[in-house]
Amino acid sequence: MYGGGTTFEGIKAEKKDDPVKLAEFEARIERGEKIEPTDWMPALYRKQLIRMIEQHAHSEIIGALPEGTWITRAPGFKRKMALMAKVQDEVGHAQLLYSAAETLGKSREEMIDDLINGKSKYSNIFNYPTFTWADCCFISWLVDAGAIVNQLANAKGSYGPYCRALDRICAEESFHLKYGHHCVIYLAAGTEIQRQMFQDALNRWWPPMMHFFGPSDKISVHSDTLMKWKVKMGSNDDMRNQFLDMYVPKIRELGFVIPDPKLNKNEETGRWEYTEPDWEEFKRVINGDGPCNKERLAVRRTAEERGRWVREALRSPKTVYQMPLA
Amino acid sequence: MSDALKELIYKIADDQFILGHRNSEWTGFGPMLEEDIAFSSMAQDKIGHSFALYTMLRELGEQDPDTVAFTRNANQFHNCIFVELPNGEYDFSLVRHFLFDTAEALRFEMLLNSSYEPLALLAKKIRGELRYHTIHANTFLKKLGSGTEESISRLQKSLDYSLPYAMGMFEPSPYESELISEGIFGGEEKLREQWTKKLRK
Amino acid sequence: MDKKVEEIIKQTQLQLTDLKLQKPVFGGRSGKHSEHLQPLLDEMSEVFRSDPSAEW
Repeated sequence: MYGGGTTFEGIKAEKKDDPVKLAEFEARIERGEKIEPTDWMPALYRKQLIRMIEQHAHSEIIGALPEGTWITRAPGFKRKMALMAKVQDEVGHAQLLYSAAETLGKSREEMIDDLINGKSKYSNIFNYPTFTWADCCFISWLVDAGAIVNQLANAKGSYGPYCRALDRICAEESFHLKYGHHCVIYLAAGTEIQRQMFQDALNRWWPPMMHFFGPSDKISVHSDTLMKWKVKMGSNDDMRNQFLDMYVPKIRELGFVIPDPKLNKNEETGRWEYTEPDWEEFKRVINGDGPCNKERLAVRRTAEERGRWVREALRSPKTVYQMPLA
Repeated sequence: MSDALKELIYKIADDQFILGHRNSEWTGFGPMLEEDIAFSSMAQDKIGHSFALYTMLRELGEQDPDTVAFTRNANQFHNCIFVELPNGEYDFSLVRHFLFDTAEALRFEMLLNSSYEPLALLAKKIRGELRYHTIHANTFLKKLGSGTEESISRLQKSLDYSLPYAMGMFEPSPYESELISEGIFGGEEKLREQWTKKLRK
Repeated sequence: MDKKVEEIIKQTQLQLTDLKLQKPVFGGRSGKHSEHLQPLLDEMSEVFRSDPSAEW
């Protein structure tokens, strides 16, 4: 699971929705009912959901790249087998999510086109490079952990197909988290080189990890409507706080130092205090100027181009009919 | 007997291990998500099979699987050259997958009757997985081998390029007669014939 | 159980050249490989060999 840090643009209803239908729709959500593909929904709801699910799906396939590059280098059978299975799961999640988004009327091809021509986004964190095995372990453990915080919240949202996809996705996640944690425990309990390798990874990945949950509530776009419609299920700062609550103690328990001297839990408020992440950098990266944006998209674009003849041939009427495998 | 047996297990294990590695390189780069997933499944199976075979070798006195797989140099590997060739484009990967996995399924079918029990048991255990691999290969070969002009000509080119390497899968070992007379393995010659010959039932 | 090479190829528009005319590429079984294997192994063992005393 890689989803998280979804970005929303300014939210304003473009045209008047039928007030009776709207009231009925909102009452259903209020009662905790799920909205299904054929139900009436405001155009804005549809648009924002497509955007969110699509970003999540893209994050899964782009997120498979920085970890996937370590499959061929994973040290030993146990790690190699587990990492292959994990990254395969993530690609499977993308498949599920694209299908969920398709129920709202946008095809997988259109979504992938928008990804490779830069029109739609994916989680910013995958625009950072994995220099060492420890970077890969950081993603498997902590980026997945952060995504789980988001996804557990989103699974309680209002759109049926997305919630069901998330339920299935979340069910696979406990394995990933365990795998990632296990990898980091081995580095922590290992040789000096291994410990340093993870500390360096932590130093590199902490700022993007803080960015992962999206801009601070103080500066992010107001999303009351999306909250009311249960599209967005929690504020960015709440999610970040939950993550810190759960994982800062675990990181420290392993003897690693989080590179933020201000990081501290205020016991009175129950909130974490930290150095404010550099939101200018966040914006720069999301707009295409991160260390790996170009590389990630280039890889995706090349894969699409190299695979075009395969997809065309499968669509060809001359193709010998085969019983589907599953 | 032991040298012949070890040589046999090494070559099968190394084939699986190296091709599994190549298959895993498709993760994230496939022509569509479904193929990323399929090649990853097959990679996991192959690497799992190699692990089982290296574990068998461990019991025959060789080093542990991680050491054997991750510390030998190229000249100590017994895989056929076919499996180590780079993935190239999807057409070559698919044709190799088809030619290799057909042979592999037949090889393990022969090993079902091996007098060396651990091999016979493994062959039985992984039958279903190998079957999935050949179904996948056959399905895609038939589809792309009849789809468009481009797909047909790409596959034809890769097929022509692959055949000499594919025949290299059946390179005889110095122990052929021993393996055959001991009932451990029916031999490369027989395997090649079955692979080539049209099925007549 | 498994259909053989020729049988599958016959169901496509592909031509299978006479296998008897092929010159098999041998050598792998006795450790004589193409230039592609060593780089594959180097990549595969990059982390494993970086600290031979380590457990991962």
